[in-house]
Amino acid sequence: MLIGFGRPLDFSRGRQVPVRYAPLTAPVRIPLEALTAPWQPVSFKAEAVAPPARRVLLTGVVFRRAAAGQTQNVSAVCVTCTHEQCQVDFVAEPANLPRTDRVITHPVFLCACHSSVFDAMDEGAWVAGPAPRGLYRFRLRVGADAVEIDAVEEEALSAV
Amino acid sequence: MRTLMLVFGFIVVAAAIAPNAQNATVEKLYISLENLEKDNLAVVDLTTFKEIKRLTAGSHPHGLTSPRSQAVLYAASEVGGVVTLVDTVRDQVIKTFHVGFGVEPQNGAVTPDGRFLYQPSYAGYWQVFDTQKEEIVQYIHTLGIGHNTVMAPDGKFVYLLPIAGGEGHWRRPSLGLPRTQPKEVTVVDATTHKAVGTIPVGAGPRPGTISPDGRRLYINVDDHMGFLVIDTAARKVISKATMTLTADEQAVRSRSHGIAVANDGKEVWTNDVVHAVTYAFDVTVDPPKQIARFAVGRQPYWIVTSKDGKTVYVNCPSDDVLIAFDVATKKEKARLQFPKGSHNTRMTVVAAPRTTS
Repeated sequence: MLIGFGRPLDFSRGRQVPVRYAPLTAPVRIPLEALTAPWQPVSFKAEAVAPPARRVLLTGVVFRRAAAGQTQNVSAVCVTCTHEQCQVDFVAEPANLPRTDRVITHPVFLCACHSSVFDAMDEGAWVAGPAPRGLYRFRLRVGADAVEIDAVEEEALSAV
Repeated sequence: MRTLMLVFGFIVVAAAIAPNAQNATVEKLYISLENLEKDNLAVVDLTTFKEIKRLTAGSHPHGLTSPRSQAVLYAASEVGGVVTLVDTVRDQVIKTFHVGFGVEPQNGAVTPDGRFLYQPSYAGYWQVFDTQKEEIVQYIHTLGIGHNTVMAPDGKFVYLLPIAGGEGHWRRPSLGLPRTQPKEVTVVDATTHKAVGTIPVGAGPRPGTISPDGRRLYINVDDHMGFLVIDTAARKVISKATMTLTADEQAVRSRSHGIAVANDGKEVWTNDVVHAVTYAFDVTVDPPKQIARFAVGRQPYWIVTSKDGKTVYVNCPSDDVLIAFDVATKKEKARLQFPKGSHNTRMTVVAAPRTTS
């Protein structure tokens, strides 16, 4: 066990604090037919405005988690690392994850710059590395034929 | 006559077999592969541009520095808290220093004579490690988080570049990182190991490099796409180089990270990390003028030049690729692809002696 790289002691790294969302400039619609298979992230771009008036371009992925059949099984996260803005990669079959002795067999997001690891099963929650928190989440609604993404965590606007 | 011919013949043979200056060394690139626990230091022969060896330099090496002799290399292990000494002639690990290098040792610099290693720690200080006594002989406290170090070519001064830090760093309670936010470079006399001045830079310092004559320090800083030019004698910022970003690039926050001097000190190359672009600037004019822009691999993170300054190497860890550029033609020369997941980040060029004799 590496000291300092186990489960976080502070709640801010976990998902204990209430989430505040900021609206996107225009909602993003992803057809459900693009999300039929689990763990196949679909990339998208979204725009928002950071106070007072800075245009922010966000890159995200939306994906269906392994257990299918329920609307809650679709997640959308921003792929900008919460540490220093590098873009994280989706890793479908992780092995020997850096900076942690946790064994995770389900997909994760991994940052190439400083090796932060995020849990794809848990909407990008922080697992390991220097990132101060999990990935920024998008708010989404699963409709009859599409997923509509209409907001992003407010904190993302000052970081991205 | 016969004696003269023998002498002449001896001279001809001696000249043929004697190593000339160029052949006496072999130029190699040492690259930290940060996501790997083992085999995390790649050695690349720059003549063939091929990887020739892998070494294990602690856990997650994040700083590489070599003295003037170029016969050894110090690799700081970010996670393990150790520094590994590498023999660059044989490409072997000589030893590992376990002397308590503090929280997450970062990118240090060794004096040209190899005697003292200025080793930063995330905990907000630099440690002066005496490489002969193998002990820390001095601590130099700066504000902020110890990160990058630039040694003057003549070894008289060393420039300490602490990260300003922010919520992204402070939320790591186990590390207890300092919450001070320095926007300055600390200048240290490398003979006394004492801080002799600071250079206000207006933002958190990031990587830096220095001109061959030591008169100009070039540093990336937070929230500026480009770099600052510092007059080292006056110890002040005299100019600013700014990248020309597209409207879409301006809408996505990025960082300049990785900077190197090329072309006999006439050019400075630096990266735009998020937009995956590397820039070349002419630094003979004030302010520096952007002269080239290259699309590179994802997350270009570090830049170094060959010893002659004619080739620039850019590491792109998200694509696990190393790209070589010809400085004169401003064209890409070659790519070296590492296995997926290697995540090549920091690197340094060493002109290692072919033998230790």
